[in-house]
Amino acid sequence: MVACGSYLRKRIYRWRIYNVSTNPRCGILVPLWLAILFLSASCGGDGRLERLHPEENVLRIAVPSDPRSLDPAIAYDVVTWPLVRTLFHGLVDYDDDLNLVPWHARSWTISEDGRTITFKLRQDIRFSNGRPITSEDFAYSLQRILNPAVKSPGQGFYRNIAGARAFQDGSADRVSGLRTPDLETLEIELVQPDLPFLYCIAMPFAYAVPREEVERHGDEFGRYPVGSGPFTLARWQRGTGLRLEKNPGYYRADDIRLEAIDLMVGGDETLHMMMFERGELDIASVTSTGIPDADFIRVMNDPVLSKRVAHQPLNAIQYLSMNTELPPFDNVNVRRAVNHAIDRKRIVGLISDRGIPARGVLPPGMPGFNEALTGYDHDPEKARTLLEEAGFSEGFTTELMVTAQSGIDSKIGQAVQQDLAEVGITVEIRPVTGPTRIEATGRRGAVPFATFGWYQDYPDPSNFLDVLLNGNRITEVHSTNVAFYDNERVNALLNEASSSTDQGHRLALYQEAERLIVDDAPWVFLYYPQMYLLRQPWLKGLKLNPVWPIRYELMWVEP
Amino acid sequence: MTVIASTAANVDSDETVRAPVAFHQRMLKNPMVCAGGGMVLFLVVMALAAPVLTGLGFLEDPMRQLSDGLDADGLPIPPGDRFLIGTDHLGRDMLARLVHGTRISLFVGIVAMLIAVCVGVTVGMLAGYHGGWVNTVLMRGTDVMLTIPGLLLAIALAGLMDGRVIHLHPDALDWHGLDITLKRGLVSVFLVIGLISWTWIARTIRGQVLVLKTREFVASSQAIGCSDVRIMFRHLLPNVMPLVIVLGSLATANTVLLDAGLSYLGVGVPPPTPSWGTMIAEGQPYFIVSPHLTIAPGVSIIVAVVGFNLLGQGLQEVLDPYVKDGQGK
Amino acid sequence: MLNRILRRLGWAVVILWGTTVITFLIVHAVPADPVRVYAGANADAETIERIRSEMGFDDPLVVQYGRYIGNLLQGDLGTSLVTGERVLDAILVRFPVTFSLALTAVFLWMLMSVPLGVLTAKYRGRAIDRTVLIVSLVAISLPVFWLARMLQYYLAYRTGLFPVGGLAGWTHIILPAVTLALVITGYYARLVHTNMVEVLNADYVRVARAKGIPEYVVLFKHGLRNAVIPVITILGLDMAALMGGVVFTENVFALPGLGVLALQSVFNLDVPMIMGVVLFSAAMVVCANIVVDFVYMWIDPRVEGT
Repeated sequence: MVACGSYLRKRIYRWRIYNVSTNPRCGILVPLWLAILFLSASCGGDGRLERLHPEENVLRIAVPSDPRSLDPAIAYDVVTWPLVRTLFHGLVDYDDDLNLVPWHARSWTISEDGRTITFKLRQDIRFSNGRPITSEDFAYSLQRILNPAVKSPGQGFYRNIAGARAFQDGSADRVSGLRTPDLETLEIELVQPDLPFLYCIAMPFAYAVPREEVERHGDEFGRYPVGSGPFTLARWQRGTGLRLEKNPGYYRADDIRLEAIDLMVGGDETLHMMMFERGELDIASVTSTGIPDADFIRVMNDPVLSKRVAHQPLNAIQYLSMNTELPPFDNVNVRRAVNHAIDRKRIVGLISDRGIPARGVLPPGMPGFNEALTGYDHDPEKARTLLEEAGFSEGFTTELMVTAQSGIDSKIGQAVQQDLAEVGITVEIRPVTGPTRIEATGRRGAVPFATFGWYQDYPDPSNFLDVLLNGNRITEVHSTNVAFYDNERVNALLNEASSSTDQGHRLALYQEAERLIVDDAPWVFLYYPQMYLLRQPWLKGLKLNPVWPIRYELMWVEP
Repeated sequence: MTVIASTAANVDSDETVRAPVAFHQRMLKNPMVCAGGGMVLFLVVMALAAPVLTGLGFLEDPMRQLSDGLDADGLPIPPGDRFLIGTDHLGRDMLARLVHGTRISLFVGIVAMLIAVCVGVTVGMLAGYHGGWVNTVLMRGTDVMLTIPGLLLAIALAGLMDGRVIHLHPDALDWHGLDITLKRGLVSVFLVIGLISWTWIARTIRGQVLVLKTREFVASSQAIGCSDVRIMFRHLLPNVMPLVIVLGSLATANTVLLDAGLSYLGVGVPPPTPSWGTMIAEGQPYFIVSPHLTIAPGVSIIVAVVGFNLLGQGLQEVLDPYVKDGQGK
Repeated sequence: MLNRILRRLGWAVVILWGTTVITFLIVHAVPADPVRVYAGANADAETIERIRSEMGFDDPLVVQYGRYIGNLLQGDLGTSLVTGERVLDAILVRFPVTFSLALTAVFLWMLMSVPLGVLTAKYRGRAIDRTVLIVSLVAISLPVFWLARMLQYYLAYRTGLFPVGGLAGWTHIILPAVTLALVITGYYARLVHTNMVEVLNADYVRVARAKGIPEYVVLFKHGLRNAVIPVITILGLDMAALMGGVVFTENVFALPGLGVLALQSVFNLDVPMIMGVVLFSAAMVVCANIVVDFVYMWIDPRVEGT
């Protein structure tokens, strides 16, 4: 993946930088270069192999900004989910081959018609406040997601439960399809058969929350979460950090080897990388990129650091969403033009080729990936023609929302800016913090154009196509369909696919839907990213998995 | 943005005995004026020449992400023959960005300085000349501005100005054609910087006007019935002019630093416009592999600020603008 | 003495009142819809209505200002639009970080600049004097954020003398404070130098020397005490500017203080938070000035009479 020759070349360049004194044109820089040379030479010590953390068996990691909420009904991003998983737990989970295995459910059965799932639950698990967990807690947690007042971004996953719609529009005070015949049985009745529904049950949205604590804290539950996971939240000082401590009452407490997780909030990925190399952090970055762009080649070429890299192809896509309800993106030719205007190869080059240029929605590792899709090639001429057809021969001005202080977003933003300027579209870049961006883009009619990364929640095409592009998933706030893309034909195909029980047929329907979507171009399909995780040699128990790349509860520190 | 606001007037040079030589000779003899002036002149020439150089093809387009601007690994190219000081993380020519960045920095710095000087001189003269309640109100206002941390005020203003609409029409009418939408950009940046940098100038000018007021020429002008405005502009202003020049030069050092600081924090002139502060912010992740991305704009800022500071200090020695009580010149 | 203290306190109240006017004006002076500013560019109609009714934006400006002051007097700076936490709480949590950083920085630069100033005054015109002059001029021209990154790289990342960033103990404050101190020390050394030169030429110092009092006593007892007094006044005036430097160092070193909070709030368009931070910092500057004033009175008892 990395050309070997490049390192040598870089060494030669480096020498030339320092040797500037022979180059009269750089004369003004000579004293500074000399000072740097002196400093670099005088501090050759490499302290990278020592762990700089006062506490043993405490995992220390860092993120740029606070999680929005630790409430399993609200949290929905790659950084927060692994934390939610340490605080709560659910009915089913994945094994290393992505098969579903029992967790809180001892076993489950699916009825003949595929519309009723019956879970038999364990009886020996308690919330950290001491109360035993029953089937009623799971029923309550699922119903809570569907409660419009909670504004859960996950509600779309569970609307297939019988009675969900009646509950949501207020005509019923409970979801009729959630039944608890006794304390160890949970029955879920669906409107129509739904193969990936069990995957939805495995998502953190469906983790059990204690009703009494939710009611006590109200909107603040995400700040003071109480669950049943291997850890409990000991402290959360906004802007500073979080500390999760081992939950001694966890039902498998003996398997948990970490004493605590110390999550620092603040700083950018560059700072985190430096802290990592000094031994102040145990994982370089737990955000989606894993290793900052600037350091990737250096890390891969470094004989010590490269041994600490764990690689995982993700089922993920990086894209720009165009709000199909807001002009000028309500015009399909404008959207196609934008797709043609952008040079994906160059963008992938900017991130050291850690991605595959995208031709559609579904990434190569996903069932249903369509090899035959052609997508949009880089063709500014065609883009200009399309713009003219759309009546924008003079171009237009728009605003691209990106995450502030994110290296990747800043790069993508400026690359897009240049590519679109070429065809006459002026892009202004608007940086906002991560949580604000999620909040704003999920709101109907608010943000025309934004950068996005989507990481699979479960290994099924519905997780991409249904969640992000089904018109029936559009909500006024917290919409996951951030392009607000609504095509009757696509909706019908997706709905048919989700109720079909024949996997082959489903995949065919999804491919057909994807073809239509690519043609409608609600997104600029950029690239499918890869994950490289950089961790310290003393961090053990790292088990990458495409759904759960990071599982803190399996890790421990062995100095 | 410097940690020091009180640059003006406080570090004075050791008193030296001056021979009565011609003014320009004294200028040229002063090493600080020469060095500082040289640096400033160099930057001004660069700023003016930048578009010409780009137009003639001597410089690349500073915003253009060049196809050969990144190496095979997607990393910036180090200084070499093709790119004198390398390229940045998007493959743009650093030299072009630095030179064009000079334009932005000097432009913002100088316009902001002019705003600050205008406000500062007006406030200082009014307060010093009128005394009484005018003085009280203006100087108390100045004190309040001095108390609010300028940089915080600047990022607050710069951040909130973004996207704000000014209605130039009465609410009853619906003339939205007259609305002005404030955008993050040059105008908001130099307005903000200008509006937080005038306080020291006002204080110093007021002090000088207080001293000048006791001179006979003011009294005689008043005696022959000159209007206040006339006295202020025709008599007082020329007398504080040397001081204004010194303060202006020192203030430019400060406004250039502030501009870089705001850009660095991401509330200055938005990308892709080349601005030294933004270049540092964007380049610092690459410090380990490509230090030139951070060092070069940093050095540029230092050269500019040192230049204006030196010039200001030197002018202060040469012009000797401080009128001391009871001693004539 | 008491009279003077009371006058200073009264003065502080006036200044604080002035800062409330300015922070109020940030939102209201531009004749735009303040609700939109308050709610942020992307607020939905519901949020806008809620804020309009909560903040009473339909009332006359004077009434709104009165309410603002009223809330302020009860310690209510509003609630964050983004996190929903009380602005004052958020500020108080971060304040100790900023405070210790500023205090350490002041301590460091006074510790370095006073001896340097005395030394250069003693050896006026010699090499050391010239060097300090030039170095101070360059140092004050350094962009703080740039210097901070450099020191972070060389002194923390490369050598491991200091922690790289974050806050996990008092050692994390040192390098940021050193950064601030390095920029300012040279300048203060010049201040001390200038005053020292003046004092050393004064008659009473000549008399002391003529009496055969040892040179170090002359320098430090007669000279320094009088030379430092004007420096302390300047120190009070520079507090506001110091806050600016703090914003940069905190952001570079990821110290969770007011500077980071301010910048985050700006990116989030969290208006109550921004206003709160500006107001609070101004209040801190006023307090610092009062403290400086007391120090001044203590060092220079002559002031009492005036």
